[in-house]
Amino acid sequence: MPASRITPAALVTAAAILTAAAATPGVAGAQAADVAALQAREARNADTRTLAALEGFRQALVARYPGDPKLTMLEFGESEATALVLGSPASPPEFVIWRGDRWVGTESRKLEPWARPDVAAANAFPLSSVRASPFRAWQDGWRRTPGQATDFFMKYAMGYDPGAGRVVVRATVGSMTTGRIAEQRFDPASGAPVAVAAAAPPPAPKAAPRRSDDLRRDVGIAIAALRREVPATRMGAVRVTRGEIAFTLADRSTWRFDATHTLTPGPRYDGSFLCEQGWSESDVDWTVLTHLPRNGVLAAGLDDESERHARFVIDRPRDCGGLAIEVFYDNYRVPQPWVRFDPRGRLLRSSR
Amino acid sequence: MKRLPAARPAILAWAGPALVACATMAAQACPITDWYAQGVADGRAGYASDRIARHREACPDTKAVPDERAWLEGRRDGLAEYCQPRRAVDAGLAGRGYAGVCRDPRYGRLYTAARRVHDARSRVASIERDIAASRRDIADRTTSDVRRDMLRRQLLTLEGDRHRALGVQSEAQATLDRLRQELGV
Repeated sequence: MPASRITPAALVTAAAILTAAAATPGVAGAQAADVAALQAREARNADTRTLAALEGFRQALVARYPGDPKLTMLEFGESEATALVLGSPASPPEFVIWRGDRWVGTESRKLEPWARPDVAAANAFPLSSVRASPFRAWQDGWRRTPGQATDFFMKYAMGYDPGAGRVVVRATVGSMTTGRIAEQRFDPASGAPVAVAAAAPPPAPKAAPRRSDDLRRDVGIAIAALRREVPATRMGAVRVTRGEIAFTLADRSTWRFDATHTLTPGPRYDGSFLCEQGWSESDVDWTVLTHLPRNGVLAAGLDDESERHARFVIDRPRDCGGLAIEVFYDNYRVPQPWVRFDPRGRLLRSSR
Repeated sequence: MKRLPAARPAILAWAGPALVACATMAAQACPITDWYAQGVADGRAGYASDRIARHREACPDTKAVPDERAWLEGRRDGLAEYCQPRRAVDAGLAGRGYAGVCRDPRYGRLYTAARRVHDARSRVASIERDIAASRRDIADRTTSDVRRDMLRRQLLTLEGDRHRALGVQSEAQATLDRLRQELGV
Protein backbone atom coordinates (compact mmCIF):
# COMPACT_ATOMS: atom_id res chain seq x y z
CA MET A 1 0.00 0.00 0.00
CA PRO A 2 1.87 3.07 -1.17
CA ALA A 3 2.20 5.94 1.24
CA SER A 4 1.07 9.31 -0.05
CA ARG A 5 1.52 12.94 0.78
CA ILE A 6 -0.35 14.50 3.70
CA THR A 7 -2.19 17.45 2.22
CA PRO A 8 -2.56 20.65 4.19
CA ALA A 9 -6.35 20.52 4.09
CA ALA A 10 -6.32 16.96 5.30
CA LEU A 11 -4.10 17.74 8.22
CA VAL A 12 -6.21 20.69 9.22
CA THR A 13 -9.36 18.62 9.01
CA ALA A 14 -7.84 15.72 10.90
CA ALA A 15 -6.71 18.10 13.59
CA ALA A 16 -10.16 19.67 13.62
CA ILE A 17 -11.75 16.27 14.24
CA LEU A 18 -9.49 15.68 17.18
CA THR A 19 -9.98 19.22 18.44
CA ALA A 20 -13.73 18.89 18.17
CA ALA A 21 -13.57 15.61 20.02
CA ALA A 22 -11.54 17.07 22.85
CA ALA A 23 -13.55 20.27 23.06
CA THR A 24 -16.95 18.62 23.28
CA PRO A 25 -18.39 19.15 26.80
CA GLY A 26 -18.20 16.14 29.01
CA VAL A 27 -15.56 14.37 26.99
CA ALA A 28 -12.52 15.49 28.93
CA GLY A 29 -13.14 13.01 31.67
CA ALA A 30 -14.58 10.31 29.53
CA GLN A 31 -13.00 6.95 29.03
CA ALA A 32 -10.83 6.26 25.99
CA ALA A 33 -13.60 4.18 24.47
CA ASP A 34 -15.96 7.14 24.61
CA VAL A 35 -13.37 9.33 22.91
CA ALA A 36 -12.91 6.73 20.21
CA ALA A 37 -16.66 6.56 19.66
CA LEU A 38 -16.81 10.30 19.41
CA GLN A 39 -13.94 10.34 16.91
CA ALA A 40 -15.66 7.62 14.90
CA ARG A 41 -18.86 9.66 14.80
CA GLU A 42 -16.95 12.75 13.70
CA ALA A 43 -15.28 10.70 11.00
CA ARG A 44 -18.67 9.53 9.72
CA ASN A 45 -19.90 13.11 9.71
CA ALA A 46 -16.88 14.03 7.60
CA ASP A 47 -17.79 11.18 5.21
CA THR A 48 -21.28 12.57 4.86
CA ARG A 49 -20.03 16.07 4.20
CA THR A 50 -17.58 14.77 1.59
CA LEU A 51 -20.26 12.84 -0.28
CA ALA A 52 -22.54 15.89 -0.12
CA ALA A 53 -19.68 17.90 -1.65
CA LEU A 54 -19.44 15.27 -4.40
CA GLU A 55 -23.14 15.63 -5.14
CA GLY A 56 -22.77 19.43 -5.31
CA PHE A 57 -19.92 19.01 -7.76
CA ARG A 58 -21.96 16.58 -9.88
CA GLN A 59 -24.78 19.09 -10.17
CA ALA A 60 -22.36 21.88 -11.05
CA LEU A 61 -20.80 19.73 -13.78
CA VAL A 62 -24.21 18.84 -15.22
CA ALA A 63 -25.13 22.54 -15.31
CA ARG A 64 -21.86 23.44 -17.00
CA TYR A 65 -21.66 20.49 -19.39
CA PRO A 66 -25.17 19.50 -20.49
CA GLY A 67 -25.81 15.81 -21.07
CA ASP A 68 -23.55 13.26 -19.45
CA PRO A 69 -19.99 14.60 -19.73
CA LYS A 70 -17.07 12.22 -19.75
CA LEU A 71 -14.20 12.58 -17.33
CA THR A 72 -10.66 11.30 -17.48
CA MET A 73 -9.99 12.17 -13.83
CA LEU A 74 -12.01 13.18 -10.83
CA GLU A 75 -10.59 14.16 -7.47
CA PHE A 76 -12.53 15.44 -4.51
CA GLY A 77 -12.49 15.97 -0.79
CA GLU A 78 -14.64 17.76 1.70
CA SER A 79 -13.91 21.28 0.51
CA GLU A 80 -12.87 21.03 -3.11
CA ALA A 81 -13.41 18.94 -6.20
CA THR A 82 -11.50 18.91 -9.46
CA ALA A 83 -11.96 17.08 -12.74
CA LEU A 84 -10.62 16.67 -16.24
CA VAL A 85 -13.68 16.95 -18.47
CA LEU A 86 -13.45 15.58 -21.98
CA GLY A 87 -15.23 17.84 -24.48
CA SER A 88 -14.43 15.63 -27.46
CA PRO A 89 -12.09 12.69 -27.96
CA ALA A 90 -9.86 14.84 -30.18
CA SER A 91 -9.41 17.81 -27.85
CA PRO A 92 -7.56 17.82 -24.56
CA PRO A 93 -9.70 17.62 -21.44
CA GLU A 94 -10.68 20.79 -19.62
CA PHE A 95 -9.41 21.12 -16.07
CA VAL A 96 -12.02 22.52 -13.68
CA ILE A 97 -12.05 23.23 -9.95
CA TRP A 98 -15.17 23.59 -7.82
CA ARG A 99 -14.73 24.98 -4.32
CA GLY A 100 -17.64 25.35 -1.95
CA ASP A 101 -20.35 26.63 -4.29
CA ARG A 102 -18.43 28.13 -7.19
CA TRP A 103 -15.88 27.50 -9.89
CA VAL A 104 -12.39 28.81 -9.16
CA GLY A 105 -9.37 29.46 -11.36
CA THR A 106 -6.96 26.70 -12.26
CA GLU A 107 -3.81 28.84 -12.37
CA SER A 108 -0.79 27.10 -10.87
CA ARG A 109 -2.84 23.96 -10.35
CA LYS A 110 -2.62 20.66 -12.12
CA LEU A 111 -4.54 17.40 -12.28
CA GLU A 112 -2.90 14.57 -14.14
CA PRO A 113 -4.49 11.32 -15.23
CA TRP A 114 -2.73 8.20 -13.98
CA ALA A 115 -2.45 6.82 -17.50
CA ARG A 116 -1.03 8.42 -20.64
CA PRO A 117 -3.45 11.11 -21.87
CA ASP A 118 -4.52 9.07 -24.91
CA VAL A 119 -5.11 5.99 -22.77
CA ALA A 120 -7.00 8.02 -20.19
CA ALA A 121 -9.16 9.59 -22.92
CA ALA A 122 -9.94 6.19 -24.38
CA ASN A 123 -11.05 5.03 -20.94
CA ALA A 124 -12.94 8.16 -19.90
CA PHE A 125 -15.92 7.47 -17.69
CA PRO A 126 -19.32 9.19 -17.80
CA LEU A 127 -20.28 11.47 -14.94
CA SER A 128 -23.39 9.34 -14.40
CA SER A 129 -21.12 6.46 -13.33
CA VAL A 130 -19.96 8.48 -10.33
CA ARG A 131 -22.49 7.58 -7.65
CA ALA A 132 -22.33 8.14 -3.91
CA SER A 133 -23.64 4.72 -2.90
CA PRO A 134 -20.49 2.70 -3.83
CA PHE A 135 -18.38 5.22 -1.93
CA ARG A 136 -20.64 4.81 1.09
CA ALA A 137 -20.48 1.02 0.76
CA TRP A 138 -16.68 1.10 0.68
CA GLN A 139 -16.57 3.48 3.66
CA ASP A 140 -18.88 1.20 5.66
CA GLY A 141 -16.74 -1.82 4.88
CA TRP A 142 -13.54 -0.03 5.77
CA ARG A 143 -14.83 1.26 9.07
CA ARG A 144 -16.11 -2.15 10.13
CA THR A 145 -12.50 -3.38 10.40
CA PRO A 146 -11.26 -3.07 13.99
CA GLY A 147 -9.05 -0.05 14.53
CA GLN A 148 -10.23 1.73 11.38
CA ALA A 149 -13.46 3.29 12.57
CA THR A 150 -11.76 6.61 13.29
CA ASP A 151 -9.70 6.73 10.09
CA PHE A 152 -9.90 9.89 8.07
CA PHE A 153 -10.56 9.80 4.33
CA MET A 154 -8.58 12.74 3.03
CA LYS A 155 -9.54 12.62 -0.62
CA TYR A 156 -10.82 10.38 -3.37
CA ALA A 157 -9.47 10.20 -6.89
CA MET A 158 -11.16 8.33 -9.72
CA GLY A 159 -9.74 7.50 -13.10
CA TYR A 160 -8.30 4.82 -15.32
CA ASP A 161 -5.62 2.99 -13.36
CA PRO A 162 -3.07 1.32 -15.68
CA GLY A 163 -1.97 -1.00 -12.88
CA ALA A 164 -5.48 -2.29 -12.37
CA GLY A 165 -6.41 -2.09 -16.07
CA ARG A 166 -9.73 -0.41 -15.27
CA VAL A 167 -11.34 2.67 -13.79
CA VAL A 168 -10.89 2.65 -10.02
CA VAL A 169 -11.21 4.95 -7.07
CA ARG A 170 -8.15 5.60 -4.94
CA ALA A 171 -9.00 6.75 -1.45
CA THR A 172 -6.29 8.45 0.61
CA VAL A 173 -6.71 7.20 4.14
CA GLY A 174 -5.12 8.75 7.19
CA SER A 175 -5.03 6.52 10.22
CA MET A 176 -5.80 8.36 13.43
CA THR A 177 -4.37 5.36 15.29
CA THR A 178 -0.94 5.13 13.67
CA GLY A 179 -0.67 8.50 11.94
CA ARG A 180 0.16 6.82 8.64
CA ILE A 181 -1.23 7.76 5.28
CA ALA A 182 -2.07 5.15 2.65
CA GLU A 183 -4.00 4.71 -0.55
CA GLN A 184 -6.80 2.19 -1.01
CA ARG A 185 -8.35 1.21 -4.35
CA PHE A 186 -11.97 0.25 -4.86
CA ASP A 187 -14.45 -0.32 -7.64
CA PRO A 188 -16.54 2.80 -8.33
CA ALA A 189 -19.52 0.67 -9.35
CA SER A 190 -19.72 -1.56 -6.29
CA GLY A 191 -17.38 -0.19 -3.64
CA ALA A 192 -15.57 -3.54 -3.52
CA PRO A 193 -11.80 -3.33 -2.87
CA VAL A 194 -9.61 -3.71 -5.94
CA ALA A 195 -6.35 -5.60 -5.60
CA VAL A 196 -3.45 -4.62 -7.85
CA ALA A 197 -0.72 -7.17 -8.34
CA ALA A 198 2.06 -4.60 -8.38
CA ALA A 199 0.89 -2.92 -5.22
CA ALA A 200 3.03 -3.21 -2.14
CA PRO A 201 1.91 -5.67 0.53
CA PRO A 202 -0.61 -4.37 3.06
CA PRO A 203 0.75 -3.03 6.31
CA ALA A 204 1.00 -5.11 9.41
CA PRO A 205 -2.08 -5.09 11.61
CA LYS A 206 -2.34 -1.93 13.61
CA ALA A 207 -1.21 -2.12 17.17
CA ALA A 208 -3.85 -0.98 19.58
CA PRO A 209 -1.62 0.72 22.16
CA ARG A 210 -0.49 4.19 21.23
CA ARG A 211 3.22 3.55 21.50
CA SER A 212 6.07 3.65 19.02
CA ASP A 213 9.67 2.50 18.82
CA ASP A 214 10.38 4.95 16.01
CA LEU A 215 8.66 8.30 16.14
CA ARG A 216 10.15 9.33 12.81
CA ARG A 217 7.18 7.53 11.27
CA ASP A 218 4.65 9.25 13.53
CA VAL A 219 5.07 12.91 12.73
CA GLY A 220 1.50 13.15 11.41
CA ILE A 221 -0.01 11.89 14.62
CA ALA A 222 2.27 14.13 16.67
CA ILE A 223 1.16 17.20 14.74
CA ALA A 224 -2.48 16.21 15.17
CA ALA A 225 -1.89 15.90 18.92
CA LEU A 226 -0.15 19.28 18.99
CA ARG A 227 -2.96 20.95 17.09
CA ARG A 228 -5.49 19.57 19.55
CA GLU A 229 -3.66 21.53 22.26
CA VAL A 230 -2.47 24.52 20.21
CA PRO A 231 -4.75 24.97 17.21
CA ALA A 232 -3.32 28.04 15.56
CA THR A 233 0.19 29.09 16.66
CA ARG A 234 2.67 28.79 13.83
CA MET A 235 5.54 26.35 13.96
CA GLY A 236 9.06 27.52 14.82
CA ALA A 237 11.11 24.34 14.67
CA VAL A 238 10.39 20.62 14.69
CA ARG A 239 13.06 18.15 15.75
CA VAL A 240 12.34 14.53 15.03
CA THR A 241 14.35 11.65 16.43
CA ARG A 242 13.59 7.99 16.87
CA GLY A 243 12.50 8.54 20.47
CA GLU A 244 11.10 12.05 20.57
CA ILE A 245 9.48 14.78 18.52
CA ALA A 246 10.13 18.26 19.90
CA PHE A 247 8.11 21.26 18.78
CA THR A 248 9.19 24.86 19.26
CA LEU A 249 6.40 27.18 18.22
CA ALA A 250 6.79 30.69 16.86
CA ASP A 251 5.60 32.11 20.20
CA ARG A 252 8.59 30.27 21.84
CA SER A 253 6.43 27.72 23.64
CA THR A 254 7.77 24.17 23.42
CA TRP A 255 6.14 20.76 23.36
CA ARG A 256 7.51 17.25 23.51
CA PHE A 257 5.85 14.19 21.98
CA ASP A 258 7.30 10.96 23.34
CA ALA A 259 7.24 7.25 22.55
CA THR A 260 4.06 6.75 24.57
CA HIS A 261 2.41 9.27 22.23
CA THR A 262 2.04 11.70 25.07
CA LEU A 263 2.36 15.41 24.37
CA THR A 264 3.76 17.50 27.21
CA PRO A 265 4.56 21.22 27.39
CA GLY A 266 8.18 22.21 27.97
CA PRO A 267 10.03 25.32 29.09
CA ARG A 268 9.85 28.44 26.99
CA TYR A 269 12.63 28.67 24.40
CA ASP A 270 14.79 31.72 25.06
CA GLY A 271 17.52 31.09 22.49
CA SER A 272 18.18 33.16 19.39
CA PHE A 273 17.91 30.39 16.78
CA LEU A 274 14.28 31.01 15.92
CA CYS A 275 12.44 32.78 13.12
CA GLU A 276 9.57 34.37 14.99
CA GLN A 277 7.49 34.65 11.82
CA GLY A 278 7.26 30.88 11.99
CA TRP A 279 5.88 28.65 9.28
CA SER A 280 2.89 26.43 8.66
CA GLU A 281 3.00 22.65 8.81
CA SER A 282 1.17 22.63 5.50
CA ASP A 283 4.35 24.09 3.94
CA VAL A 284 6.05 20.72 4.45
CA ASP A 285 5.42 17.44 2.68
CA TRP A 286 5.80 15.28 5.78
CA THR A 287 5.55 12.01 3.88
CA VAL A 288 8.97 12.59 2.31
CA LEU A 289 10.67 12.12 5.68
CA THR A 290 10.64 8.38 5.08
CA HIS A 291 12.76 8.79 1.91
CA LEU A 292 15.22 11.39 3.09
CA PRO A 293 17.55 9.29 5.27
CA ARG A 294 18.44 7.15 2.23
CA ASN A 295 18.80 10.14 -0.08
CA GLY A 296 20.94 11.82 2.54
CA VAL A 297 23.21 8.79 2.87
CA LEU A 298 23.72 8.78 -0.89
CA ALA A 299 24.23 12.53 -1.10
CA ALA A 300 26.77 12.70 1.72
CA GLY A 301 28.49 9.45 0.81
CA LEU A 302 27.79 7.73 4.13
CA ASP A 303 27.51 4.07 5.07
CA ASP A 304 24.11 2.48 4.47
CA GLU A 305 24.10 1.73 8.19
CA SER A 306 23.71 5.47 8.83
CA GLU A 307 20.13 5.51 7.54
CA ARG A 308 18.67 4.31 10.81
CA HIS A 309 20.57 6.97 12.75
CA ALA A 310 18.99 9.85 10.86
CA ARG A 311 17.24 12.64 12.73
CA PHE A 312 15.44 15.65 11.27
CA VAL A 313 15.33 19.33 12.01
CA ILE A 314 12.67 21.32 10.16
CA ASP A 315 12.93 25.06 10.62
CA ARG A 316 13.72 28.43 9.12
CA PRO A 317 16.98 30.24 9.91
CA ARG A 318 16.76 33.03 12.44
CA ASP A 319 16.83 35.62 9.66
CA CYS A 320 13.59 33.98 8.46
CA GLY A 321 15.06 32.59 5.25
CA GLY A 322 13.65 29.58 3.47
CA LEU A 323 12.17 26.64 5.31
CA ALA A 324 14.34 23.53 5.07
CA ILE A 325 14.48 19.95 6.25
CA GLU A 326 17.91 19.02 7.54
CA VAL A 327 18.92 15.44 8.14
CA PHE A 328 21.72 14.70 10.60
CA TYR A 329 23.33 11.35 11.28
CA ASP A 330 23.82 10.61 14.96
CA ASN A 331 26.24 7.73 14.42
CA TYR A 332 28.95 10.29 13.64
CA ARG A 333 30.81 12.50 16.06
CA VAL A 334 30.27 16.25 15.96
CA PRO A 335 30.42 17.89 13.47
CA GLN A 336 27.95 15.35 12.19
CA PRO A 337 27.34 15.02 8.46
CA TRP A 338 24.18 16.77 7.34
CA VAL A 339 22.08 17.01 4.23
CA ARG A 340 19.64 19.82 3.51
CA PHE A 341 16.40 19.39 1.58
CA ASP A 342 13.64 21.80 0.67
CA PRO A 343 10.18 21.35 2.27
CA ARG A 344 9.15 19.06 -0.60
CA GLY A 345 12.12 16.77 -0.01
CA ARG A 346 14.30 17.97 -2.89
CA LEU A 347 18.01 17.83 -2.22
CA LEU A 348 19.67 21.21 -1.82
CA ARG A 349 23.15 20.44 -0.52
CA SER A 350 25.12 18.30 1.85
CA SER A 351 28.04 18.69 4.20
CA ARG A 352 30.22 16.84 1.67
CA MET B 1 25.80 -2.32 -7.75
CA LYS B 2 24.27 -1.74 -11.15
CA ARG B 3 26.37 -2.10 -14.26
CA LEU B 4 27.65 1.29 -15.26
CA PRO B 5 26.53 2.59 -18.63
CA ALA B 6 29.30 3.03 -21.18
CA ALA B 7 27.91 5.89 -23.24
CA ARG B 8 24.69 7.80 -23.68
CA PRO B 9 24.45 9.08 -27.26
CA ALA B 10 21.01 10.64 -26.77
CA ILE B 11 22.23 12.72 -23.87
CA LEU B 12 25.55 13.57 -25.47
CA ALA B 13 23.66 14.98 -28.42
CA TRP B 14 22.24 17.62 -26.12
CA ALA B 15 25.55 18.49 -24.56
CA GLY B 16 26.41 21.19 -27.10
CA PRO B 17 23.37 23.43 -26.57
CA ALA B 18 23.57 22.77 -22.86
CA LEU B 19 27.07 24.17 -22.69
CA VAL B 20 26.06 27.21 -24.68
CA ALA B 21 23.16 27.89 -22.32
CA CYS B 22 25.33 27.39 -19.22
CA ALA B 23 22.73 24.93 -17.91
CA THR B 24 23.58 21.37 -16.96
CA MET B 25 21.41 20.15 -19.83
CA ALA B 26 18.90 21.40 -22.35
CA ALA B 27 15.32 21.40 -21.12
CA GLN B 28 14.32 19.15 -24.03
CA ALA B 29 16.68 16.48 -22.71
CA CYS B 30 14.97 16.25 -19.33
CA PRO B 31 12.13 13.85 -20.27
CA ILE B 32 14.52 11.42 -21.99
CA THR B 33 17.30 11.57 -19.45
CA ASP B 34 18.26 8.35 -17.73
CA TRP B 35 18.81 9.87 -14.31
CA TYR B 36 20.81 6.91 -13.05
CA ALA B 37 23.18 7.27 -16.01
CA GLN B 38 23.34 11.02 -15.49
CA GLY B 39 24.27 10.37 -11.87
CA VAL B 40 27.01 7.96 -12.94
CA ALA B 41 28.41 10.58 -15.31
CA ASP B 42 28.30 13.27 -12.65
CA GLY B 43 29.90 10.92 -10.13
CA ARG B 44 32.68 10.04 -12.56
CA ALA B 45 33.30 13.76 -12.97
CA GLY B 46 33.44 14.25 -9.20
CA TYR B 47 30.49 16.59 -8.88
CA ALA B 48 29.14 17.39 -5.42
CA SER B 49 25.59 16.39 -4.57
CA ASP B 50 24.25 19.90 -5.04
CA ARG B 51 24.69 19.31 -8.76
CA ILE B 52 21.14 17.92 -8.67
CA ALA B 53 19.86 21.41 -7.89
CA ARG B 54 21.42 22.63 -11.14
CA HIS B 55 19.72 19.81 -13.03
CA ARG B 56 16.44 20.81 -11.43
CA GLU B 57 16.91 24.38 -12.60
CA ALA B 58 17.62 23.09 -16.10
CA CYS B 59 14.41 21.04 -16.04
CA PRO B 60 11.66 23.50 -15.04
CA ASP B 61 8.87 21.39 -16.51
CA THR B 62 7.09 19.64 -13.66
CA LYS B 63 6.53 16.58 -15.84
CA ALA B 64 10.25 15.99 -16.28
CA VAL B 65 11.69 16.58 -12.83
CA PRO B 66 14.91 14.74 -12.10
CA ASP B 67 14.55 11.40 -10.36
CA GLU B 68 16.73 12.27 -7.39
CA ARG B 69 17.00 8.80 -5.93
CA ALA B 70 18.10 7.32 -9.27
CA TRP B 71 20.56 10.17 -9.78
CA LEU B 72 22.01 9.74 -6.29
CA GLU B 73 22.39 5.99 -6.74
CA GLY B 74 24.11 6.59 -10.07
CA ARG B 75 26.36 9.28 -8.65
CA ARG B 76 27.47 6.96 -5.89
CA ASP B 77 28.44 4.33 -8.46
CA GLY B 78 30.22 6.96 -10.54
CA LEU B 79 32.10 8.19 -7.49
CA ALA B 80 33.35 4.67 -6.86
CA GLU B 81 35.36 5.08 -10.07
CA TYR B 82 36.30 8.70 -9.54
CA CYS B 83 37.54 8.18 -6.00
CA GLN B 84 40.26 5.65 -6.80
CA PRO B 85 43.46 7.01 -5.19
CA ARG B 86 45.58 6.80 -8.37
CA ARG B 87 43.07 9.15 -10.01
CA ALA B 88 43.65 11.63 -7.20
CA VAL B 89 47.25 11.96 -8.37
CA ASP B 90 46.20 12.44 -12.00
CA ALA B 91 43.58 15.02 -11.02
CA GLY B 92 45.99 16.94 -8.81
CA LEU B 93 48.86 16.95 -11.31
CA ALA B 94 46.44 18.12 -14.03
CA GLY B 95 45.28 20.97 -11.80
CA ARG B 96 41.66 19.87 -11.83
CA GLY B 97 39.37 20.85 -8.97
CA TYR B 98 38.22 18.56 -6.18
CA ALA B 99 34.85 18.98 -4.43
CA GLY B 100 35.74 16.83 -1.41
CA VAL B 101 33.38 14.08 -2.45
CA CYS B 102 35.47 10.99 -1.69
CA ARG B 103 35.07 9.08 1.53
CA ASP B 104 38.50 7.48 1.23
CA PRO B 105 40.81 9.88 3.09
CA ARG B 106 43.73 8.77 0.89
CA TYR B 107 42.12 10.53 -2.04
CA GLY B 108 42.16 13.91 -0.36
CA ARG B 109 45.77 13.52 0.86
CA LEU B 110 47.06 12.40 -2.53
CA TYR B 111 45.09 15.05 -4.37
CA THR B 112 46.42 17.81 -2.12
CA ALA B 113 50.01 16.63 -2.51
CA ALA B 114 49.69 16.25 -6.29
CA ARG B 115 47.96 19.59 -6.63
CA ARG B 116 50.86 21.20 -4.76
CA VAL B 117 53.23 19.76 -7.35
CA HIS B 118 51.03 21.11 -10.14
CA ASP B 119 50.90 24.56 -8.58
CA ALA B 120 54.67 24.60 -8.05
CA ARG B 121 55.26 23.56 -11.66
CA SER B 122 52.88 26.26 -12.83
CA ARG B 123 54.76 28.84 -10.76
CA VAL B 124 58.10 27.75 -12.25
CA ALA B 125 56.66 27.84 -15.77
CA SER B 126 55.20 31.28 -15.19
CA ILE B 127 58.55 32.65 -13.94
CA GLU B 128 60.36 31.07 -16.88
CA ARG B 129 57.97 32.78 -19.27
CA ASP B 130 58.72 36.11 -17.60
CA ILE B 131 62.47 35.43 -17.80
CA ALA B 132 62.23 34.62 -21.50
CA ALA B 133 60.22 37.77 -22.14
CA SER B 134 62.76 39.90 -20.26
CA ARG B 135 65.64 38.37 -22.21
CA ARG B 136 63.84 39.04 -25.48
CA ASP B 137 63.33 42.66 -24.54
CA ILE B 138 66.96 43.06 -23.46
CA ALA B 139 68.15 41.62 -26.79
CA ASP B 140 65.82 43.88 -28.73
CA ARG B 141 67.86 46.72 -30.26
CA THR B 142 64.97 49.14 -29.99
CA THR B 143 64.86 48.82 -26.19
CA SER B 144 66.18 51.95 -24.51
CA ASP B 145 69.21 51.76 -22.25
CA VAL B 146 67.21 52.86 -19.25
CA ARG B 147 64.62 50.12 -19.77
CA ARG B 148 67.33 47.55 -20.55
CA ASP B 149 68.99 48.36 -17.24
CA MET B 150 65.67 47.95 -15.43
CA LEU B 151 65.05 44.63 -17.20
CA ARG B 152 68.47 43.32 -16.17
CA ARG B 153 67.70 44.06 -12.53
CA GLN B 154 64.29 42.43 -12.93
CA LEU B 155 65.95 39.41 -14.51
CA LEU B 156 68.14 38.95 -11.46
CA THR B 157 65.02 39.00 -9.24
CA LEU B 158 63.26 36.50 -11.52
CA GLU B 159 66.23 34.15 -11.48
CA GLY B 160 66.09 34.20 -7.69
CA ASP B 161 62.33 33.55 -7.79
CA ARG B 162 62.86 30.67 -10.20
CA HIS B 163 65.50 29.14 -7.97
CA ARG B 164 63.15 29.28 -4.97
CA ALA B 165 60.18 28.00 -7.00
CA LEU B 166 62.24 25.04 -8.22
CA GLY B 167 63.06 24.28 -4.61
CA VAL B 168 59.36 24.33 -3.71
CA GLN B 169 58.56 22.14 -6.71
CA SER B 170 61.24 19.66 -5.79
CA GLU B 171 60.02 19.52 -2.19
CA ALA B 172 56.39 19.07 -3.33
CA GLN B 173 57.41 16.28 -5.69
CA ALA B 174 59.36 14.54 -2.93
CA THR B 175 56.37 14.82 -0.58
CA LEU B 176 54.10 13.32 -3.22
CA ASP B 177 56.54 10.49 -3.92
CA ARG B 178 56.79 9.67 -0.22
CA LEU B 179 53.03 9.71 0.14
CA ARG B 180 52.51 7.48 -2.87
CA GLN B 181 55.01 5.05 -1.41
CA GLU B 182 53.36 5.18 1.99
CA LEU B 183 49.88 4.61 0.56
CA GLY B 184 50.98 2.11 -2.07
CA VAL B 185 49.64 4.13 -4.99
